Order: sequence, then structure tokens, then C-alpha cells
Amino acid sequence: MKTLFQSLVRLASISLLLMLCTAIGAKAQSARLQTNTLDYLAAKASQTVDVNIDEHLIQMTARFFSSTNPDEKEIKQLINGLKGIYVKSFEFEHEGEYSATDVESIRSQLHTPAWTKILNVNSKKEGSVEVYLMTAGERISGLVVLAVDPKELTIVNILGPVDLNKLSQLEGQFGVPELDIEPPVKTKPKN
Amino acid sequence: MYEVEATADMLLMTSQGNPVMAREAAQISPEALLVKAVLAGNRDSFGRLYELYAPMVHGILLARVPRTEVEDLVQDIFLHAFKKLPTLREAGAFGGWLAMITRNRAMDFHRYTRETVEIKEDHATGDRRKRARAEEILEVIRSLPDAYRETLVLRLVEGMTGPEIALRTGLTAASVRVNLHRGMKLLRGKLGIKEAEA
Amino acid sequence: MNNDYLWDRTGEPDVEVQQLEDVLGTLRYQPQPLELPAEVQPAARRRSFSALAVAATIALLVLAAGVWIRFYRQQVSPPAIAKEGVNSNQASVTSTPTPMRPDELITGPGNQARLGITAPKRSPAPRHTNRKNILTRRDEMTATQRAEAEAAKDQLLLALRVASAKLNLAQRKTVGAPTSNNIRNQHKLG
Repeated sequence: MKTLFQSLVRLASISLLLMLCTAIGAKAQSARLQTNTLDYLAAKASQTVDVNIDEHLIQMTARFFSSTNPDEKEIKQLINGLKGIYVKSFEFEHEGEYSATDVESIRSQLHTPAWTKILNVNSKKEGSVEVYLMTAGERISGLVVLAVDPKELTIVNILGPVDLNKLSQLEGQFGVPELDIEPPVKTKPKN
Repeated sequence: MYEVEATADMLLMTSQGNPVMAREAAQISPEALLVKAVLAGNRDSFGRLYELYAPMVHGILLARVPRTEVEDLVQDIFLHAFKKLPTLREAGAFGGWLAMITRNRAMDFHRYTRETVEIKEDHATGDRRKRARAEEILEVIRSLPDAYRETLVLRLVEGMTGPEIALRTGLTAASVRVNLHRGMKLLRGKLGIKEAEA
Repeated sequence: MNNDYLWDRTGEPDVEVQQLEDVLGTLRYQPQPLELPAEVQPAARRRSFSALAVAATIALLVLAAGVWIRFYRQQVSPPAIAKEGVNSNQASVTSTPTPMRPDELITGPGNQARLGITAPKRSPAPRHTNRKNILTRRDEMTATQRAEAEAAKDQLLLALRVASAKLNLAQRKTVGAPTSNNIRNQHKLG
């Protein structure tokens, strides 16, 4: 009888723990966008970036960033605590390779009270960039950047406490130039 | 000075963006077999590794150090790699390991060597003019960020394709593709602007 | 720009790229014989590290064995004999989540690491295994995990670059060029 009771209590505890984990996971999951409807665009794109890194992999990867190298230390700090990094980016040779429906399938997931649009820049010629945040209290728990261009479609989805300042400062490090065209290089006359 | 231990396995992505299965632990690449043979005492196998990877090492160096120093450094790097081969944990990661040694060696070259100014000869003949033009373009490539210039040199100078660059250097195909695409964009811009000034 | 040709020389040739290949090809590596002196030998592996690794593995095995023995004893302990005056709530139960199998740690349920890496399928670990098998599994798991994380590092950097670029693009479009530009060691590889 005692053994049966012990087993029941153990089972109940495990179930409760699993339910709790599922609830937490579900909360984190809601910050995750479903972007697999866009996978078919890879066949049309001249260039595709498709990155899916979950929390476990982030933690494993963080160990490979040096704490002494200042650039890598910043990256390590940035990814500390993140629950997932998901990027889909398609570049096309011609305009019109993706449809408004494709973009709407992403936007519709962001039209919920959980997401707040903090930035929206529209340009008929250059497309638009939208930035959404999900917050838990005063902390950011999710970020989405949706960049829509006539020849490019990019969705960035980062789960967890993102430091926007640190993230925006990354551009220019590791040899990646700014997006602006660099000023012409004046070459010395050859002898 | 440039001791490196690497365990990275390689990930390839096709041009359609579909991930390809990484090599499982049970499969051993030809390069890994050669490394194991060298460690077992077969020096000839290292010669074969040299043949396979010398263009990559040459290209990485060409992107970073004066052209006149490259050939000596290639030999130096392979000699060092031969001596330090037992420190390589994963035989299949030889390419990435060797690439990192090469980059580190190039950095050390600049740290410990006073650079001299190359005197340009008067290139009269057609071949020499072509070579002179090549050196001008190489200088422009060298002014690009690290990630782009190395990939461009391997592609345009050494004639390696994108998948080959990924295979040899241990970079992912996605990274190589992005570097090639964006690097080429920058290069075109700089060459275009340079031509306008000339 | 024909990206296929730039990528792997397939598709329609890109004239500009071909011209660059033609010109820059004059600087291509020309095979030279490798001069490897006969007296040069690969350095012996450092024994101290191996000894340390073995010692650490043995320590872990002892610890794991201790935990397993304790768990086994709990499973086969005789049922408590009811005594007068004994409070049945004295039985303490600790609930712990079921430990994950090695393959679950790599691509377990809920872990959607879509890097195209799948762990080799392994049968569930038998309860009674010899020491050699335990060592082999641990090594494989560690090496495979390390390989996966190394590959993911590249992917992660790529993802962060794209994210950063798009954020800054949005910022520039709204407020103009950023006031601070923390480009550090632009020519230094990570």
C-alpha cells in the first residue's frame, strides 16, 4: 500500500513538473513564429539563409566563444539566456518572386496582443522594415524583424532576452561592413 | 605561437537551401584517412594532404600577406602542421584546422615583420600587363573585410568553387555563399569606382 | 549577377566573373614540391592530458555507479512494515525527471535544431553495460555535440549578422546614420 502510494505521488510530481515545463515551453513557443510556409521560396531564391538554432544548441555553442577576445565576449553576452535564433532570408534575381500572402502569413502571427510593433519604416522603392517585440513584464522575451524588399524577404526571430543595443552594434564586427556603400578608396599612384 | 586544436565537423548546404546531412561519426572522409595514415607513420600521405590543401593555404595567405612571401609561408605552414598533427582531435577537421593555422600565421607575419614597399616594374608585355592588372585587383580585394577577401581569393584566384571552399576551409556552405555574394558586390563597386577615377 | 556561376560555375556564365578569373588566375598557386626534412617527426601526443582525461572519466564512472546503485537499492527496498503509531506521511519521495538518453540530448523532443544534423540511431542503453561501451558512448556524444556546436557557431554568427544588419537598416531609415559606430578590429577574424 505504501509502495503504491509512493509510486502515485512520484507519478503526480513528475506529471506536474512536465505540465509546468510544457507551460513554460508553450509561453516561450508563442514567441516563435511559424515560417515553414515560406520554405518553398528557397527553390526560387538566388540565395537563401535558413538558420534554426534552439536554446540547447545556443548553450552548447556559447562555450566556443572566447571570453578573452573582446568581440567574441560580446557575442557570448548577447546570446546568454537566449531561447532560440531563427532566420529565414531569401534574395531573388527578379521582383515579384514572392507574394503578399507570403508576407501576410508572417504578419498575421504578429497581430496579437503579445507582440508590439516598435518600428515600421516604409518605402515604396526600398520596401519596408518592421520590428516587433514581445515583452514579459519589463524584459524582452522575443524579437521579430521583418524586412520586405522587392527582391528580398527576411524574417529574423529571436527568442529570449535580446539586448537590442548589443545586437545592432554587431554590424561592422568580424569583418562585416555596414550596409551603406563604402566611400571610394583612393589608391596611391603606382610607380 | 599558432597552436590550434579543432574538432569542427563540416556542414554543407545545397544551392536550394536544403540542409545536407552532416557526416556521421561512422563515415570517415578521405582527408581523415590520410591524416590517420600520417599519424600511423606514413609520411607519403602527408604529401597527398599537401597537394589537396596547398591551394587553399596559398589563397588564404595571398589575401593577407605580400605576394612575395606567400610561397615560403606555404612551406612553413605545412611543416608546422606536420609537426603539430597529433594535436588535431578530429581527423576530419584537418581543413578547418589548417585554415586557422594559416590565418594565425598571416597575423603573426604582420606583427613581427616590417613590411617593405614593393617596387613595381614597368610591365611592357601582354602577360606582364595582365599580371600587373591582377595585382591591382588583388590589392582591391585585400582592402575588403577579412571574411570576404579570403573567399574571393579562393574563388577567383585559386579557382575553387563555393562547395570546394566550404569543404576545404570548414566553413558552412551558407557562410561561403553569403561571403561570395556580398564580397563580389563590394568588389564590383570598388572596381567600378576605381575605373571611374582612372 | 549570376549567383550560380559565382557559386559553382553552373548556369549561365557571368562575364565579369569570368574576366576576373582570367586575370586573377595569373596569381594562382603553382605546385611546388613539399620539403619535409627527414628528421622532422610529428610531436608525440601529450600524455598528461590523456592521463587527466582517463582520471576524469574514471571519476565520472564511479559517480555514475554510485548514483545507479543508490537508485537500484531504492527500487528493490522491501515494503515498509506498518507499525502502530507510525505516520504514513513519513515516506519521503523525491521526484526527478527521467534522465535523457544520449541521442535525445542531440536531437531530442522539442529540440528543433534544423541544421541538417541527425544523430546516428542508437538502441536504448541496456542496464548492464561494460565499461568499454560506456566510455565509447560518452566519447561519441561529446565529440558529436562538439562538432554540432562548432558548426552552429558559424550559423549563429551568420544569423546575428543578418539580424544586426536589418535592425540598423531600420534605424538608419528612421533617424539617419547611427551616431556611434563600434567597429572594432574590422580586419581581425573571430
